[in-house]
Amino acid sequence: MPRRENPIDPDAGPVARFALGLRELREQAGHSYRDLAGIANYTHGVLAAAASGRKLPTWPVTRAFVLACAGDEEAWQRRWSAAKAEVDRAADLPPPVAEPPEEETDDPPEPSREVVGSVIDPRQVATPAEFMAALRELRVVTGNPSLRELSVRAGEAGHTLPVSTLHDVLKRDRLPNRDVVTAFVVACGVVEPKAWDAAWERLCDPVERDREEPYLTVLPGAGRWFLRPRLLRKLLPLSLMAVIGVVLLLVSATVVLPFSSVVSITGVVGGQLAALFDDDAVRTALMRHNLRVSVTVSDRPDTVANRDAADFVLVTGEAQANAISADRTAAGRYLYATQPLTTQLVLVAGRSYAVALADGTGERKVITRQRGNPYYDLDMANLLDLLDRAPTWADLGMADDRSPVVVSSPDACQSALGEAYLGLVAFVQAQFQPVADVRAADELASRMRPLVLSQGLQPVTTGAASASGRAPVSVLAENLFFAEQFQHRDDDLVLLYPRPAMPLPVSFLAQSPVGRQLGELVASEPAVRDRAVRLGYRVVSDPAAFTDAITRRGLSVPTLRAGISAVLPTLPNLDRLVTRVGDCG
Amino acid sequence: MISGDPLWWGVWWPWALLWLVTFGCVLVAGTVLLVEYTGRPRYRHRPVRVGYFLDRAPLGDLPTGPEDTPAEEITDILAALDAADELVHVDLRALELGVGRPGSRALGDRFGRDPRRRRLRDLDGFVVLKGSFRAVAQNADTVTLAAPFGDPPDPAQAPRVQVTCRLADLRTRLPEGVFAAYCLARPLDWKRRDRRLVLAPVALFQ
Repeated sequence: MPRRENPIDPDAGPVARFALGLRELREQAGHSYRDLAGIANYTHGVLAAAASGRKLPTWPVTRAFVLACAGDEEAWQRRWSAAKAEVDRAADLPPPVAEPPEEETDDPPEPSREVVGSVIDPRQVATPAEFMAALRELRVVTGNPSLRELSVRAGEAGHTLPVSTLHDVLKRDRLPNRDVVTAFVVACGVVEPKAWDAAWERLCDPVERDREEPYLTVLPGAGRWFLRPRLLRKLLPLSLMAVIGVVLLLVSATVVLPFSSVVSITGVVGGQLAALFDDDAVRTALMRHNLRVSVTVSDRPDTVANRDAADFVLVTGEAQANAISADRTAAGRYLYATQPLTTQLVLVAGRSYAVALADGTGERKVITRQRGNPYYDLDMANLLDLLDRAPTWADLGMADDRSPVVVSSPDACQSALGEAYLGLVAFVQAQFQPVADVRAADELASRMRPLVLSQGLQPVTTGAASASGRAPVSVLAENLFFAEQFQHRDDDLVLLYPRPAMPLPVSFLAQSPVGRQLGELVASEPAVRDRAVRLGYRVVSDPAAFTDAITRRGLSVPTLRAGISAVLPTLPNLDRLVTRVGDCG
Repeated sequence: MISGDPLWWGVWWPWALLWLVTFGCVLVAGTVLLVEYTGRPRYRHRPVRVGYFLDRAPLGDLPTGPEDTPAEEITDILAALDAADELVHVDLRALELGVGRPGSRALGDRFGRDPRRRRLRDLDGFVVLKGSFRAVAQNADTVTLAAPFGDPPDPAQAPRVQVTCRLADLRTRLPEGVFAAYCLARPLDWKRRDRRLVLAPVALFQ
C-alpha cells in the first residue's frame, strides 16, 4: 500500500486548495500516481508535485492530470485560471515562512535528470513562443534548477551556457541560437537533444538559419582506415583461413614442413631381413618420420666393407651381432643394440617323412607330436644318433624309398642359418656345451665332419627360400616357414621344433643417432611391426602379434616348451668350426 | 628443404597443400593490408613554396628547428602540428575537412556530435585551410583577408572566414585580387551578425 500523502491545510491559500482538489479528483478516479503517469505521459514525480500544494502546476500538467482522472476539463481550466490569478495577485506578498518537508508523496519524486526528456514533446510546438514556453516548462518539471546550476551542468556536458545568456533567453519569446538550446536541454538532463534541435530548425527563420556557421563534411578515412568494412570484408575470411591453417599446422607439427629434410639412413642387413624394408607401407610409415632407408644385403654383415659407415646393421643370430658389438665397443664407436624381433631354427619335413621319423625310430624317438597341434618336438640328440647310423627311409618304414635319411641345411660357409645349424649340432655333440676355444673347435670339427659331409651342404638361397621342393627334411628359419604358409598354405609340410631350441634373435645395431631413431621405430611403428609379422617374425615387445597372425590365417600356434636353448660359441670359434667342417674356400 | 622425392609427396601432399594455402592466405592478407595502407586517405601538406605571412605567436612553444626561409619554416610547422595531432586539413571551397591520422583528437570529438560533419569552431586544434582569399580591409598596421565558404556566386555576401594579419609579419607582397592560398590558423569565433569566422592566423602560404 502506498503511503498516505501529507495533509494539506485548505486555509493555506489558493495553491493548497487547488492541490486538494486535484487529490480528491485522483482519489475518486481511484488511480495511483504511477497509473496516472502511464495515462498522462508525465512522470509520476511531476504529477505528484502538481498535487503537493507547494506550487501551482502549469496548465498543461493540470490538464493532463485532469484528463487522466476523467475530470471536466473546462471546469478545471476555470478553477486553474482563478487560482493562477489569486497567486499572481499574491506575488507581491512575502512567501510562506516554512515549507513542509520533502517526503510526502506516496512515491518520492525522483529528480532524475535523465527521465524527463520525454515529458515535454518539442515536436508539438508550433511557434517560437511555444518553443520558449516548452523550454521553461522543461526547466520546471526537472526540478526548477537555478540558472547557475544549469550553466554548471551545461559546462559539465561540454557546452557553454553563461548565466547572463540564459537569463536573457528565458525572458524572451524569440528563438535563441541553436547552441544555447542544445546546451539548455542537455543541462536539463535530456539525453537525446535531437528532437529539440529539429524543432528549432523547423521554427527557425530562414534568414536566421543562414546566419549559422556552415557545416563542413568530414571526409572518410579520417577514422581508422584498417576498420573500414571494405577492407574487413576481404581481410576477415583470409585471416580466418590463415589462423585455422596455422593451428592445424601447429597441432600436426608440420609448420616447418617445407624446411624439413628427408634423412637417408643406410644399413647393412642380413639375408631375408632386407624384405622388412622392401615394402610400400613401411616406406610410407618411415617417410612420415622423414626417414628413407637404403640397405646393403649380405648374409655375413660383419664382413661387409664400409659396414662401420652404415647407420645400422640388422642381423639374425647372436654370434654376428655379438662380434659386431664387441668390435664397435672396442673401437669406442657409437652403438645402440636392441633385439626387436626373433625367430628360431626349425626343421621342415614332408608329412610322410615326419610320420616315419615319429613311428619308425623305435625306443629313441626322434620326433614327438605336440599336444593339440600339428607340430613336432625334435630330439636333437636322438636325431644325431639316427643320422650316425646312416639309415635309409625304407629302414624307417617307407618301403618304396631307398634314399638315405639326411637333413639338408644351407652351406654354413655362406649362410647364418647353416652356421646356426652347425652351432646347434656342435652344442649337442659337445654334451650341451658351447665350444670353448679353438682347440675344442678343431677337435669337434673333426668328429662332426663325416656326419655333416654325408648330409650334403646346400648352396645358400636368399630371399623367399622355398621350403617345398627340397629334401625330405631340411633346416629352415621358423619365420620363413610361416611367411610361406601365409601365402600358400601347404598342409603336407610339418614343422619340427628342435630340443634344445636354437633361437635366432634379430639384432638391430644402431651405429649412429639416426640409426637409433630407426631402431626405435622398428620396435614401435605399427607398419614395420605388421611387415615383420607378415614375414613370420615374432615381435619381442608384442608376442600376441605373431600368434594373432597365425590364428587369423587358420593355422595352429606352435607350443614353445621351456627348456635348454643352444648357446653358440663366440664368432671366432664358430668360424673355426664352420671352416673346418664345411671346407669354406 | 622439400625434396623432389615422389614418396615424400605421396606422404606429405595434404600437409604441403595446407601449408601452401595457409601461406597463400597470409601472403594475400598481407598484400591487401599493404595496399590498403599505402592507399589510405591521407591529408598531408605538400612542401610550402611561398610563405606570405608568418606569425608564430598562436603556436605557443611548438618546437621546430631553425629554418632559412619562411616556406621551409611553415613546412616544418605543418609537420610538427601534424605530428602533434593538432592539425585539421580543410578545403573551404569543397566544404570538406580531414585529419592526417586515424582517430585524431583534432576533430574535437564529443559525445552526441555527428561524426560526419563539423563546424570550424568545433575543432580543437589548428586548421590548414585552402581557400580563395582576397584583401577586404587594410589600415596602417594590418591587412584583413577573407575567403568564402563554398563557391558562392557573390563571395562578398556569403559566409566567410576572416584573418587579420599584421603588415609587420608579411614576408612578401600579397598577390592582387582573389588568390588561392592556404592559411594555417586557429579558429576563434563565429560572428553571427555578419556571418564570418574569425581565425587567429599563423601563416599564409602557397
